[in-house]
Amino acid sequence: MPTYLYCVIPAGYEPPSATVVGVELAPVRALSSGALDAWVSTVPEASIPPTLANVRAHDVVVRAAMSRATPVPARLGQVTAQDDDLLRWMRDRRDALIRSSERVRGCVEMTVRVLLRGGSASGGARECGEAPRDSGRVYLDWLRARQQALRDRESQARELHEEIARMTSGVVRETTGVSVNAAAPLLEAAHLVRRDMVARHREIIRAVVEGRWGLRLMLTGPWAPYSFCVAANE
Amino acid sequence: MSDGELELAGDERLVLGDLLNHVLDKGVVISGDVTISVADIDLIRVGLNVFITSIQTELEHAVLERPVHDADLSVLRDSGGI
Repeated sequence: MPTYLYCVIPAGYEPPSATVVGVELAPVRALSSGALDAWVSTVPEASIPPTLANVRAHDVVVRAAMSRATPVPARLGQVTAQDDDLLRWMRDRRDALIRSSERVRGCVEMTVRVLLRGGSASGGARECGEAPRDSGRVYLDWLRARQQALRDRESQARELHEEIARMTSGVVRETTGVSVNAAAPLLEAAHLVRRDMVARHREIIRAVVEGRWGLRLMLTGPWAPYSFCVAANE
Repeated sequence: MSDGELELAGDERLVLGDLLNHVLDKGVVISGDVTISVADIDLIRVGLNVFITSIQTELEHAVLERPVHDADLSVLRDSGGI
């Protein structure tokens, strides 16, 4: 029977099999390989349907692991033919998995997203008003002004990113997935934050973003550190 | 995604979107515009606000919970989404 992988976690933490149900309603158990365990389920088919129920079940198991230690999460759908194949995979990648586990130990991921208040996807173009109905030069002048507004907006987004990076340097261990745009979202980034610094991280980001007019902060987390390391059976 | 429970408030939608982004392979939320430009000037803008995570993963798993039309995919390809 196929073995479904949720995450890899330092050895010694038992999954809460009595209270947590995995994908396809399968029970969750631990497979040990030296210093690491894999949290897995036996599933009826190798192909796991990407339903919302399965996404949520996967997340619940990974969160249960997060409540005990820092897991190296797998994404939905990591399946091997049987336990032995997964154990072989863990042995073959032992060093890389330990490095990943060390890299994120004691940390969670926070997703930072900043939008323009009002939610316009075209962002800086708003400053230019509606497109003129005139044809020819007037219209082209309007388009040029709009392009300039977008460039200015992107430059502001870059400044915001730099300020956030400066202000959070004491609480953010790593940053990845940075996207700076003229439109929505202006800024997007994944921060690797020490667990005991999550509240402080939230406080700093709020102060930076809410101190600027016209911006809206969307901060989600804590998440397992998916953006920084994943257990993938390539 | 078709569990029939997507009547969500703004913050819940955001969290659900991020959950999909994290848990699904190649998870991407596209929210923005496709623009067609000539000589650095945008001439046509098409609004776009879709999840491509489920489409990509569903195609790989060949388990489609809703029909995916060629037109949907070509828009996503044009936008760089796939």
